[in-house]
Amino acid sequence: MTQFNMPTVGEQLRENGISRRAFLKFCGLLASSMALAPSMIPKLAEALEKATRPSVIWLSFQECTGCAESITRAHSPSLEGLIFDTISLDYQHTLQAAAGEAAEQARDEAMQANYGKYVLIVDGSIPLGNAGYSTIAGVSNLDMLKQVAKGAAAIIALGTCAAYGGLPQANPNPTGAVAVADIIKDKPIINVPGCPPIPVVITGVIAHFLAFGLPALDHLGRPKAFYGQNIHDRCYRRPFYERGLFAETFDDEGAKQGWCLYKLGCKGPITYNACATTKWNDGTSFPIESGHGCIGCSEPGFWDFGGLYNPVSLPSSLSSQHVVFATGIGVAAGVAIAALNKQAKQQAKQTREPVNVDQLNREVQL
Amino acid sequence: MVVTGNLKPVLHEIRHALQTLIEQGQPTMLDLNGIPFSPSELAELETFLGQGEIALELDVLGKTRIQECSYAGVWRIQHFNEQDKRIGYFIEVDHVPEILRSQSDDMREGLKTLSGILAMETEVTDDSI
Repeated sequence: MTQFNMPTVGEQLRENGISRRAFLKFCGLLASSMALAPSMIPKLAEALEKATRPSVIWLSFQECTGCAESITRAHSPSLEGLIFDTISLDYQHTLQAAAGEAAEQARDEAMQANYGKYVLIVDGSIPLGNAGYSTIAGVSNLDMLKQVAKGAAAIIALGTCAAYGGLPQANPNPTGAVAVADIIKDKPIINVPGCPPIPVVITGVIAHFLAFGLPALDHLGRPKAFYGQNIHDRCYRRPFYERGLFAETFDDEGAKQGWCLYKLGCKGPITYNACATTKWNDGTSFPIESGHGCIGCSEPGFWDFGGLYNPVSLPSSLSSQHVVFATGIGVAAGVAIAALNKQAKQQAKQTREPVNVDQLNREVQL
Repeated sequence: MVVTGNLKPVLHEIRHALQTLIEQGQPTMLDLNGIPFSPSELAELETFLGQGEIALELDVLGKTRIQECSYAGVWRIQHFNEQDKRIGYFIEVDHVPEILRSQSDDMREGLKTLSGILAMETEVTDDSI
């Protein structure tokens, strides 16, 4: 329940038996997960020590609860768990004990007590088609989002559905699903995409907000600390890509040798996320390490990329950086990007037609 | 064998950090978790850094193992969770790793408690006279 004299994060952790030395370790690990320079650890410790424990209202719209599972299934006791324990989660209809009117009342009370200061977390997309596609306590997702967003200090759009529309928005988008940012224009929105996002990324964003305010965001509204790195650039299989060594099927010799999965549809070259360094399941591995290509789940429209197993197509937002990644093998083979057939590129751009390595090589040799 | 090419730059960074500590007294911390290494490179790094005279184990939110490397002032800090799985790996270049220092707030609290106990003892002694 919301209190008027909120303890600080430091006090809260101390109450849970976390010593100052343990707090320093915690901040070191947190800074590492947030990709902060280690020199920032003392600053992070100082800022978190004094930060007020925030009230958080979490709204779930057209979603599968995978995002909530991601964070609540984090191994315990964990960094994620510790940070999650420091927030005052005043409304989350899957996790809270209260139900029905009591639950909605808890949300109203938290909003009134912390108006203008609470953090709003949204997972799931918002249907603009028939309001009845998704409602909570008889209120449409659109109305509830607008109402709760009004008093929020900031909004965290959690998961690709809330950030970009995600699976509900996949062609043909039957519910008219849109992202939070398509509706709310007057509040800071931090997109934390992923299907689901990495648990420590979720808590890292919360921690950053508590300690330093809004994080620096990229052009898609994602915190650069976690989404600034390309999966491909940080992939341990990258050296094979550079040498032109690719698995052609999931059980060939190349696959057994751990060669690059580019030809098997890996979306690593166009995906920005922390999987390759932070990893999953308590740091065990990430999809590419388990032998499957990245599916690009933290990118807008990833369901409509044209097939999980098709090699990366030239992305619709064709940037020079993307071209370099998508044609890196061409470069590795000593052929210049400038020779790429303009017409084919233009066509691929418009139709998002997959262009595989062989085609690229053929085109550049013409 | 996979080679990321990250080993050499990291070794040079450690060398530079040690020089900075000696010349300017400024400590440095490197986060090895953020840098991809192949298993062979990681093994090479461990061998290169070697073992110094000090090895400590702290019990804070799981274990933390601290070792001075063969090069004085270069410390290996490994954080483990309660299942003894390594969750953080840092190289700290300093006279003493920060986590070993007693924290100022803790010291102030300690002083307060110590003063309280001694004051109480004095009162008891005065009463008994």
